[in-house]
Amino acid sequence: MKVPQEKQKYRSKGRIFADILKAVQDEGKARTTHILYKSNLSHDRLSKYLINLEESGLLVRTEDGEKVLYEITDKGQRFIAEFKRMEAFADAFGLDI
Amino acid sequence: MLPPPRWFIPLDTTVQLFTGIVALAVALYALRGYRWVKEPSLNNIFMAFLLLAVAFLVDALTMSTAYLEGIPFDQTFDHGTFIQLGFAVYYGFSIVAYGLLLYTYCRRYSVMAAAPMAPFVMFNSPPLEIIIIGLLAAIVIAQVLRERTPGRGVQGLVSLSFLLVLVSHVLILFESADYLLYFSAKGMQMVGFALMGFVLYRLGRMA
Repeated sequence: MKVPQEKQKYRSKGRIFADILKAVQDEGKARTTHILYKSNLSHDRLSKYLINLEESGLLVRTEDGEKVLYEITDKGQRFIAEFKRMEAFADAFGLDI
Repeated sequence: MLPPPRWFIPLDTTVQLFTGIVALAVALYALRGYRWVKEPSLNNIFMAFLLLAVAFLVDALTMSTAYLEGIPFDQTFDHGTFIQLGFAVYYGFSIVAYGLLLYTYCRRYSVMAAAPMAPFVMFNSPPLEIIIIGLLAAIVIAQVLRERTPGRGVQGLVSLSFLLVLVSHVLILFESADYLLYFSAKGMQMVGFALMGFVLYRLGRMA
């Protein structure tokens, strides 16, 4: 039995959250353009996700003059750890998350 | 009919209890992940293993009640509403649980999901064990097809554990030929779920 190839790798909302948070975590304080580049999202979608992440308490938004910066919270760090744990768990069952 | 001896019921109950506890641990692990990640696959694993845990624990309760009331092993189906309800919950919940797991594996591959079930459509009302065997066989196929490094690592262990549970249900079909088959079936079920517990332990240590 042949499994059909997926045309484009599906990214769940959780994975997109994790990708954005990792991009911010790597940078310490990250600018929107850096996150945009690292998370491979359109500007509109990224803006919506950043609002979501802020509202969920996973990221904090700060302003340094004209620059808007994002910083990961403790809850955000924990989200990344839990995501990695669940990625391994789902992988054990042959599932992608 | 060659039923297993009465002394085996406490052992059988212990196996069902152990299996139920491991299934509950898997369910809680998936629930914890779902609360963070909100991924439907994790919710399905949680629901499926919770149903399995309830099924095994209810079966353990049913068998221990039958044992304490002195009902012979081969006549448990004929005695009392409570006993019949217990077996109905065990089979009903198990079928829904394995069906949900199969759906989770196959939801992006509709052909794969339908193919293993096709032979069962031919039966008007297949015995409950046959339905469980069909679902488990399809789960094992789906799990093996999705292994990245076939037969190795935690994926290999999960495949092996589903395979052992599948073989245990096949052996139960033939229990009337020799009750040693029933003992072997229960042993395999326990080893299968012990492997699943070991996978959880390894994942916990990796994090």
